[in-house]
Order: sequence, then C-alpha cells, then structure tokens
Amino acid sequence: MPTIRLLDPAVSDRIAAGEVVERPSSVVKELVENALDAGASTVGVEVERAGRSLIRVSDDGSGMAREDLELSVLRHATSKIASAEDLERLGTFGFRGEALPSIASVCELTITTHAEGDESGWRLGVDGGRTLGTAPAARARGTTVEARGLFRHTPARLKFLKSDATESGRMLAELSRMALARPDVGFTLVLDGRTALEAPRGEGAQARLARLWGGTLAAAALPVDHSEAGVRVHGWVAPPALARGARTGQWLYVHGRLVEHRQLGFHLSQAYGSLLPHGRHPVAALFIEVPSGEVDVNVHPAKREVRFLREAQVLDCLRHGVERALGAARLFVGTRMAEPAPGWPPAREAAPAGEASRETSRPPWAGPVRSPQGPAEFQAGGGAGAWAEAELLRGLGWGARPPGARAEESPEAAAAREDWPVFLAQLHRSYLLCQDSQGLVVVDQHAAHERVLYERQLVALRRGAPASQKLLLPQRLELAQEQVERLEATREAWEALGLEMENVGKGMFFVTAIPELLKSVPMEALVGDLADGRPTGQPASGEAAEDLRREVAARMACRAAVKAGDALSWEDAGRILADLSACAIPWSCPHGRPPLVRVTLAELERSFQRR
Amino acid sequence: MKIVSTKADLSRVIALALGAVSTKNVMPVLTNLLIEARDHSLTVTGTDLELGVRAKISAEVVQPGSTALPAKKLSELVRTFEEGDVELSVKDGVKAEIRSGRATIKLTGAQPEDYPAFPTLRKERSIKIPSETLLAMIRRCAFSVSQDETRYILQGALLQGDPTKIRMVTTDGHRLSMVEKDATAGQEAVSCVIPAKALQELTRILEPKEDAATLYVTENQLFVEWGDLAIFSRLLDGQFPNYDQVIPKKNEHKLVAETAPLIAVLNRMSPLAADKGNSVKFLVNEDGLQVSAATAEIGEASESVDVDYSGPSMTLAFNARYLLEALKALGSERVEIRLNTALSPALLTPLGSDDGGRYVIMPMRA
Repeated sequence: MPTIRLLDPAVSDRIAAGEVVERPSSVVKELVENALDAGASTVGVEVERAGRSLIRVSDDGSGMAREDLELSVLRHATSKIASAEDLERLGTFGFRGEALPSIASVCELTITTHAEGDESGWRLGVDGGRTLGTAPAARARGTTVEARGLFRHTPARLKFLKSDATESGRMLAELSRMALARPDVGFTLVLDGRTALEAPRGEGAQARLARLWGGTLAAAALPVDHSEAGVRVHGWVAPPALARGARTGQWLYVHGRLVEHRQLGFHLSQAYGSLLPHGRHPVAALFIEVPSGEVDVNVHPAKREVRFLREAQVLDCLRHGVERALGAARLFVGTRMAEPAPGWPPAREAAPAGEASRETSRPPWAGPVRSPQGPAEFQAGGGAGAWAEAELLRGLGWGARPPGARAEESPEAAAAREDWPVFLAQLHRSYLLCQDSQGLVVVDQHAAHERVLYERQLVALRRGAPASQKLLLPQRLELAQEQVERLEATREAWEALGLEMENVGKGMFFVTAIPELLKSVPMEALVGDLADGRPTGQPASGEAAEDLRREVAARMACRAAVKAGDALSWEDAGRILADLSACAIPWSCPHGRPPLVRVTLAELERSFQRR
Repeated sequence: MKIVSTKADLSRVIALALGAVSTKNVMPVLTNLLIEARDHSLTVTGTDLELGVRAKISAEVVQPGSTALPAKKLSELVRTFEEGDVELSVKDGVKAEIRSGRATIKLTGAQPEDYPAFPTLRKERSIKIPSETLLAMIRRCAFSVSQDETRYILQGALLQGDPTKIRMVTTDGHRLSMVEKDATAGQEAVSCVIPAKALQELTRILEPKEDAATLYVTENQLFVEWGDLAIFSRLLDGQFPNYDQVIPKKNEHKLVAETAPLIAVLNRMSPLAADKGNSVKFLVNEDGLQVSAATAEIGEASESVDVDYSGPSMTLAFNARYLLEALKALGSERVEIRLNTALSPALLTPLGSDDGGRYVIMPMRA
C-alpha cells in the first residue's frame, strides 16, 4: 500500500488557509479587498467578539451572478485573472482565487449577493469547506459575506488568538491602513455594536489622513510626491519630532496594496538620517507606483511581501522623495510634543498613545521642559545615512540623483525662512536667545555654527580632495570577503577622498594613505564602516564614500566652530543666524542634534497659567 | 618621626617627586607623597604605579620614621614658606606638624604602610650614559611619538643598545625619528619601549651633566639611577616596528639646504597650509627649490630656497609641521634631504655637526 497519497481537499484547504487566514484581521483584509476589487464605493465591516462570533463585510460593489457565486468558493476560482500573463499586470488586490475557499474552510461562511441586472439575489452557505447549497435571497446590489464561528474547526489556531482587544485593534489597524489608500471609498467598522471607524466616501486624501492619523499628526505631516526613473512615490512623512520607538507608524503601499518590505523601511529611516536619534523610527504613509510588470506581489499567499524588478530605483526614489519633503520643511524641535488628537493612534498601538498622554498630562507648572525628542536624547544617530548631507551633496551633483531633482522649497518652507528667528541675547555664553513669530527660539551656538561650517566644507570637498598623508608604516586590516567586494566596488569614491588601500588578497588590505583630517580616527572602524556600507549590499555609486566625506567635513567643522562658552558679539550672533538660515539643512547639526529649539508663546502662556 | 631641613631642599625634593603623583583619584593613597627619614637623609617618593620618582636629600634626622602626606597640599604649602629651616614631626604615622618661621601647619596624611613599595631593583642588563646624552636623544626624537591610542606600542620610544651603539627610535606611522650614539665601554645589549610619559619625566628631572645615568632594563620595567634620584617606569609591551626597514637606503636624489632659512620659509608658508592638513608643496629641480602653500578662497604663498640639487624635477607635498619638527631636531647648520619619488619617504640627515639624528618623513599626496 503506498504511503504517499493525495490529501483530502478539506485537509489541503485548511493547510492553505493557514497561510491566508492567520487571524480575524486577515479575514477582514481579504474580504475588504474583494469588496474593493468588486468596485464598492462603501464597505461596512461588522465584528462581534473580535471576529470569533461574526465578521460581516458588506459592500455595494458589482455583486455576483449565481454561477459566479457557486464558483467563488472553489479553490483557484477567480474573476480577476484569466491567464498567466495577467499575473504580470495585476490591477486588483486578489488574483489567487484562494481567499474565499480558505476562509470557507475555517468557518461557517454565508455569502449573499445581488449582481446588477439580475432579478434577484442569491445566498450560498458553506460550512467548514462543505457547500450547503444556494437559494434566492433579497439584497440590494452588492455582496455581503458573513463568517461565523471562525476557527471553530481548527482549535489550535483558535488557541493562538490574542485577547479580544488585541484582535479588534488589529482589525482596526488593518482597515485604517486600507482606508487611507482609498479615500474615494467609505469605510465603517463596527465592533460589538460600537462604531470604531467611520470614514465617509470621497472625503479627500488629506481629510482621510487626518481622520486616520489624528489631526495633529496629519497637520504636521509633510507631503511627499516624487518621481524618478519611472517610479513615483507619494504620500506623507511625519517630521522627525513625531518619530516613534517602533516601526508601527510606517504604512507602505505598492499600487495601493499595503506591503511589508524591510528595505523600504530601512531606506525611509535612512532618508531621515541624522534627524532621528538612535532607536526612533519615522512615521510615514507612502504610496509607491512602478510600471506594471515591474512588481511581483505573488511572493506570499497573504501578498504582504513584494519584489521589485528594479529595487534599487524604487529605494532611491523613496529616499529622495522623503529627503526632499524633509529638506523643504521647517523642522523645529519643539519643547513639548504636540497634543495627540483623540482617536489616534488606534486603540491597540498602546506604546505611542501612552507616550503622548504622558506628555500632555504634565501639569502646567512642570514648566517648559524638553520633549522626549529634546537635545539630551539626540545622539550621533544614524551615522550611516545622514540624509541632509546626502541631499546637499546630490544638490551639488555628487549623488545618484538625476539632474533637476534638487529640493525645491515648498512655499511654507520659503515663508519659514522669511520668518527666521531674530537674535535677542546670548545666554550663558552658550545659547542664543531669539524670537520668531511663534515664540522663543533657543539656538545652540556651537551646533548652529558647526552646521554652517559643515555645509561649506562639503562644498569645498567637492572642489578638491582633502590633503592625504602617506603612511610610513602601512596598516594591515583583515576583512571578510563580502566587505572586500563592497570596498572594491566603491574604490574610486574613497580614493578621491585621499584614502589609499592596497588589496593584497585573502581579505587583507594595507592602508597606505589616509585623509589628513582623519589621522586620529581608528582605521579599523573607519574602513569597517565603509566596507559594511548599506545593508542593501548594492550602494549607489558614491553613497559609501559619503560617509567618509561627511566624516571629514564634520571634523573640519567641529574643530573650527565657536564653542559653548565663547562670548559672541551681537554681530557674530547675527552672522551665525543668517548663515544658518542659508543652510540647506538648518535643522540638525552634523551629529544629529538640533541647533534650534522653540518654546512657543502658547507654551509660555500655559506655563504662566494665562490659559 | 622628626626631621629638620630647609625650605629650599624640601621644595626641590617635593617638586621632583610630585611629577609622578597620580592626577586621577582612583587610589586615594597615591595622591600622597611617601616621606621617609633615616640615616641623615630624607627620601620623598611619588608614584602612579606606572611611573615612580624617588628623590633623596640629606637632612637632620632627629627621630627616624615615615609618613605619607597629601602631595599637592604639601607642595603648595612648602612653596610659600620663608627661607630657612623647616621642622617636620609626625605622630602615629599620620599626624604631621610642620613648623616654618612662626607658622605651624598640621596635616593629616595616610599610613605609610599603605603606600605601595618602590620596586626593588634587580640589577640586570644596564646601560650607562651621561645624562646630557640621554636628554639630547630624547629631545631629538620624542616629538614623533604617536598620539594614536589604538597603536599602543607607538606611544613610546624604542631604546636599543648593543656593544657599539645606543639608539632611540620613535614613529607615529607617518614619520620616524632615530638618534644613534656611540656606546660607552662595557655596554650590554638591551631593547625596550619607554612610554612617552617617562620620557617627559626624565627630561623634567634630569639635568644635562656628564655624570652618567644608569638605565636598568628588566622584562617589564625601566629603572634609572642618577645620583640621589631613582626613577622607574613600566615598559610598553609589544613588537615595535622594524625601523631599519623603513629607513630608505636607495634615495639617490640629494637636496642640500641651509637649515635656518628653510625653517623660516616653512614658517611663512604654514599659515596658508593650515587648512589643508599643513600641506606645503615642494617643487624641486636644477634651478632650486620652490616651496608653496595655498588655501582655497583665502590665499597662497610661495618662496624659493637656495639648494644644491642635481636630481630630476619633482613635485612633492609634505606636512609642514613634520618637516619643521625634524629640521629643528636636527641641530645642524645644513640639512641633506634624500628623495626618491614624490610618494616615497624622504630621509633627512644633518650635515656638518652630525649628532646622529635621522628623520624619515612620508610625503602627502599633492
């Protein structure tokens, strides 16, 4: 008797369902995607007991005719593609024909649908994968799918569900993310009779963002819209002061489909570069469009992962778009976090919510203190990719950015420069007290001057290589093979900066000359950083050398800048402020600390209990 | 314990030992000076365990004994005393009373038993060298000791003696300085790396005399005896680079210049070289030497120097500071700079009054 046999369809369905239907929120995701693919203009989701009892998704989409309805619960039955070629140019969320059968295999499923033009609607029942039959039913145009008793047949999965609150939070998060991509569609989520989300259709992208992100965050969000090499990235990024301790605030979409992509997330962080201290993660919602046929979403059954044909271009486009948005913005570090809007963040994202409430619950007499983003927390963050410098260098024609892509300032940013702080007095020979239209601005004189000199040095480095000292005693370094390859790939770039290394094979390098200014930097660390490059493994030309260039410029600037404790004349202070305003990136010193901190009039008024 | 000495003697002996006293407060007892009275003499010892100095003066010992007193306070106090006799008496090892003129000062110190013992000298291999020669050698090459924390072994000077020669070598990886002297009779073979701090202390407390200092070298310690002074230092442990390999042997193009004018020219170029890593350019050909420096947007300078040179035309760049330090250390009226190519090391040797200095400087990329 053969020991290998074909599995009973009920078993294989359940195995497949394991991949698609992981938890109640995956059911919501799959069903809502179906609704959107059916052209719905409103989608309603009703959930009872976090989906354990009921998940009901109703839409006003195209509905299904009786034959389609009966086919829909069969595996690999789909209306969305017809041939293998269609896989290359997907315009719909679904295409595998797996969602409904998978869901049907793990619950009691009822589908009620009425296709346009049909005389009546139809109802189909399926229980644990067995079709119970089709009967006429009354319904307006559209489809309602009800999933009852989810995971009743798979107790193991049921056991792994988290608390109702957690699972409901996941559903809200899932639906919020989908809702952001489709402001033209109305979404409602009702959890045990309570409306958790209500987003009317056609409310506009900005309004939808405010609804989902909360007013404060949405108001502070910087718009992104950037195209290069056939790739477009648009959406919003939050200013660095609103960054979070986790990556939960990153909503990334490819062709409107929410995706998880480590490289995209990484490049998003890279774009913030020195603006973010270590351990903080950007908040962003970004939509990526690539020419159809250049993205493969058929990587994972849940379609969360995607692959790009030209990943480097996509990553570059994302990075440049975000850099541009940040570079054009006015990024003051406030002394206090903005108040979170009610309803944001969604219930389950407890960490940031807790943070925010802690901030706002500070009693007024607690005084104008530093926010969690205050200087004390700013460390030399993200040495690998200070976007600001990258921006500046690209502006100078150093980077991989196509010509003409230099950040143009938004009208707001231009206006911000008009309203530049005016010097009032020097505080403890270390800070410049200034005022602008919104309140008091405190400038760290060293950080500000450092930024000014740093940008000048970068310009100077472009004109000519810095002095380089030949070594009398070459220094031997041993590197891993992959490091060697990355080093060799960027040889031209680092040689241009005065670093000379001889590759003697077997991972052995001899450093024979070093940039004069980096004499005191341990070579192992410096070359190690260069060799490790970006985790993408494929640094764009010149990107790895940027670190070196920045290091040289930062050292030059730090050495030359006025120090804390230097008395500055009125003219000196004015000069530093004026020069800072002319900087490409006045919002961060070369080490990621903010040179400017603002105490708004409102905060002062609160502190004085005037309101 | 009770002694009578003079303000002059006391302040001298305290100043000598003070240099070795720890500035860190990790071990509190080390912020003291150990003071011992016996056999008509007073011994003062300071140490941070890396380095120690022990100085002895003769004094009237009324009652022998010892104590450990706070080094800085003691030094500051004694300096303010009026000239004349100073009486120091100690009870219970820690309660000191000092009388000078009409002043009475009471100091509380530490138990002398708690003070680390000065290492006992094992008279192993030794070098005898007049203190003036030792000082000259240090002065000729201490400047190129490395400041790089990661290259530990270069933070000291190699001292090497064989039956005919004694030499000292320092390098920071960019340049190398070497001084070689004839050995005194009966010299033993030694080789050790002396930390920069010890070189500094030696130049501070030795006086340039013909009296020979004796250097005893053990596996991990250097012990110097000079008259009533004793100094010990921990040695740096590791492999000093092979200096001989680095000294160019085939540099055929000789450039001979007067030292003082060349120093003056480099000093004039330096302000405009400072922003570019002190880089000065040497354009050398049969017509002579043209030295120049430039800083973008600030200005440039150039000056010609009379030299004897018959080699090929060459453009090199040097760190002006390296050249200046080497030229000043040469101590001769004229200098011979031997060149090979623009990117290979240059060798500087004194002409005329050769006192054994050799300087290798790696050029910069112009």
